[in-house]
Amino acid sequence: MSPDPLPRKPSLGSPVEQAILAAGDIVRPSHDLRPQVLEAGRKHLGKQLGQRAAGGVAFAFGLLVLIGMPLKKMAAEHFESIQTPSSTEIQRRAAIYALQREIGTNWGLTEAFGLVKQSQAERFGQLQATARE
Amino acid sequence: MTTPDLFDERVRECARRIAESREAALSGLYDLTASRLLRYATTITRNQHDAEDALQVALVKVLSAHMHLIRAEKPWPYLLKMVRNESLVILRRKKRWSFLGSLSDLSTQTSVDDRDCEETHREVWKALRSLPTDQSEVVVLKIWEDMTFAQIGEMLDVSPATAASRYRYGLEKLESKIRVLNSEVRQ
Repeated sequence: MSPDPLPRKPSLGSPVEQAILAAGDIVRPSHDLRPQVLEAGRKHLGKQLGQRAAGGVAFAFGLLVLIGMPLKKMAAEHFESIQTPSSTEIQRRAAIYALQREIGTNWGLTEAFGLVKQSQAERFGQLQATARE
Repeated sequence: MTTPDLFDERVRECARRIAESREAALSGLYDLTASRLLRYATTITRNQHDAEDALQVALVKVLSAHMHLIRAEKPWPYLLKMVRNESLVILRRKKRWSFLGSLSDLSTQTSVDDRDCEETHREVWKALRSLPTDQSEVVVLKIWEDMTFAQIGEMLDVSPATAASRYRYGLEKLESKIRVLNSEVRQ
């Protein structure tokens, strides 16, 4: 690109206009202005990129918190539902069955285990069906 | 002669290059426009150092605002206006009216053949600086940038008639200030 094509207007009428036209060409930028401008441009873009990166990280973090919290809650609920009951829980259920059905504690325990196995099998079947879909 | 339309397209092309390769292309815009922007800014700030500051700020802003320049109907007047705005900001901040009589800030460059004319040119600059800004900028836009009064009016947000009358008043004052020069030119 050729530098500074200064317009010429030979049709300017008065001598004063011609003198002003001629005087326009003499003022030139200082020698260090060009590198200063280019350096300032580089700094400006670097700063802009830094700000954009910081903004992006903040946005991503916000999004993660926004989506992550409900997901964490859902996951906790899901894992809770498929978790195998603890031995204390089985004992508790066995005692309830034994009292309700007037059977021995051992049969109550068997019944409780049977129900746990059954519910696990049902859940496993549901998971397989979901995976197939 | 570089017609304003052709120059507009060259400025637009530079802005497009800036959009593609950012600061690497800023040098192209600088090389194309710096001298013309600087002399215009100098007539507003009345000080070349301030004008260079204004030019720097405006060109750096182009890096972010290159799309405005690409989409502008007339990119060159748009860029001139950007420099004008920055010059006015600096002018308001510094109030350098005390520099009116001095030309020590001017960085001039003349060929050996034109060396005899340099003093005359400096007198013209001195006379230009003594004008009110609203008149001097119309004079330089008309004479140096070859703009019509309609274009000047659009750029400065005044009517073409106002731009023309500012030009007329400005030129009358300049004629009286450089009358000696005038007579030399006539000979």
